[in-house]
Amino acid sequence: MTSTTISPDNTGIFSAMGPSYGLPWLQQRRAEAAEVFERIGLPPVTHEDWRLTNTAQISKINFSAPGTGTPLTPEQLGGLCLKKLGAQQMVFVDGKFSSELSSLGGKVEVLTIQKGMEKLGDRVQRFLGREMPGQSNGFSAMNLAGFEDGAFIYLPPDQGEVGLVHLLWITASHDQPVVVQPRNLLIIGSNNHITLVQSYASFSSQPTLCNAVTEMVVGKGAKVELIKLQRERDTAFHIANEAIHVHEHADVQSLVVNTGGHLVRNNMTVHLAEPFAQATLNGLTLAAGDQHIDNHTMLDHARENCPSHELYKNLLGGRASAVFRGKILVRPDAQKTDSKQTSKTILLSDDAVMNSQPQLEIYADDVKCTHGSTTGPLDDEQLFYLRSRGVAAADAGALLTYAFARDVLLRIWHTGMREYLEDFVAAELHRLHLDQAKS
Amino acid sequence: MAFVEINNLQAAVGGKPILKGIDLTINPGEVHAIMGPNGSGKSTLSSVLAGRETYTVTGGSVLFDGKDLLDLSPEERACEGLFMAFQYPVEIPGVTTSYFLMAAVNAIRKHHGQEELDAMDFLKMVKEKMALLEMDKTFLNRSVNE
Repeated sequence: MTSTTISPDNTGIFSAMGPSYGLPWLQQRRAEAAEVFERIGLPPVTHEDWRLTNTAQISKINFSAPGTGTPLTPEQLGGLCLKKLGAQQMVFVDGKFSSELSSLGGKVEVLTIQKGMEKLGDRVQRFLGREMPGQSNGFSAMNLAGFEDGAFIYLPPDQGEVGLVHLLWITASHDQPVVVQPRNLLIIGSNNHITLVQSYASFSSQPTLCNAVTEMVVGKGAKVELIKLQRERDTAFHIANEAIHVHEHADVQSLVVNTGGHLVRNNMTVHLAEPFAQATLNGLTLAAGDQHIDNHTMLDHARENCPSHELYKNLLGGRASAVFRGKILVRPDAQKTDSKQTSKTILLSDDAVMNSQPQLEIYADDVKCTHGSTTGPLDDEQLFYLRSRGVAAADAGALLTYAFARDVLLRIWHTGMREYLEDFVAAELHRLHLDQAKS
Repeated sequence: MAFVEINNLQAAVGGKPILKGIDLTINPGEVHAIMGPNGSGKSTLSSVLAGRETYTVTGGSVLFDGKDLLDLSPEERACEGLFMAFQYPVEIPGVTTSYFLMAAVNAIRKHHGQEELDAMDFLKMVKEKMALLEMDKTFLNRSVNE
């Protein structure tokens, strides 16, 4: 396989190895991943999975590791902070844990990976790189080789409802392009109920690259809501590889909200590994200007009696482009699979582009799998209905745009997060001028 | 004076003439039912009166309460008091009935130079009306026409 041409400076930074804390197994995994990266590099546009998202732009920028910048004050977190919702909050600035900005007290022991290595080294060793191995693609290899730190949660079984944990990753302002590599390892023991939020933000007017990996294991009978909020500046490149392993009778719901970034790629892989495991994958993308947002999902039905549900929505204005590619794999043992996938996009300008691609691979014979995809302007019938009740055309458009987005948010289980995101999305629609678009 | 006065109204959709000269006068207090076979133009007439943009008025005039109706946007017609009850009302997921009603009520109040209601006052009013009609409160949080 040929790789994209990478400037000499970036090869160094992209395959650089992070700290091994004197652990031979970590040293070895990092070295292997660095080797994989040197061999395959960033995914070329000729690769089927990457043909609609060209990472060549990333290779052309001369990235460096962020030095120690000016520390952020709690006030600078502003609306990024979720403490008012009672969240335990772990904040990383430029990839480094900030104890000043974090408030970790609560029912869940939230550790950095570095701390996790000291306290629960065997568990980190067991799970790190298991769900999202370095070989998956160039970005996951680069992350495993080079990540500096991250969040580590090991929640023992039978804790019941433990509340909300927020992992906030901020890239601060820099006068040169920087790369940050978040890594989150979340092991949720059986019969727990937890809401996990990941936020990604950036303050830099220079290009930033956030190359994140999140691995999660959901134990038997656990109920987990995983919300990701990608709200970086339009100078940001954001690549995320997330993988979730779901055990028997567990129920996981994921929501990915994208409103920021110049080029964004989210890979979400869910492995329904045991009978009666359930997964719901939702997504909401708001994009305008020259933004490009790509969501790839992979639902792997390995065993019988697993329901899965997917709803990804996009609101695109300006010259924005978005991709949804949803793969559903039903393996021979996955009888009685019940899977529904929906992708809906509203194009608010003539220059916005959507690429939607369902991909079903079914090897069992007693299954129900449906998929649907729609892309188009605002619904004339709905617009007319609102206008015929007195609502002005512009207000009707804004109302429908918001409603289209809110439909996804209403599915959020956690009440506080639902209300927070309703407000956030309304504000972002306004910021991106998506509430003023004509049908 | 007649409340609605339709004179020689002609309308087409996609270049195809549907209404070919309708005359109808409705006086205040009168109830009219328009009957006819399928395809005779009943729905087209109501859509044209409500202002649906897929229909083109090719001739004639409509006076509503003395105003030139065909000059008004659909929302202005609604605010003036003319609107269409849909045979198959469209669902609007994500817009609650209470939010929709408040938007409609306030648009009409604004049109008539009245102060807009805040959420509290509106909710109080709508709950009174619902009690009067013995409607289930859950309707308020349901999406429009769902």
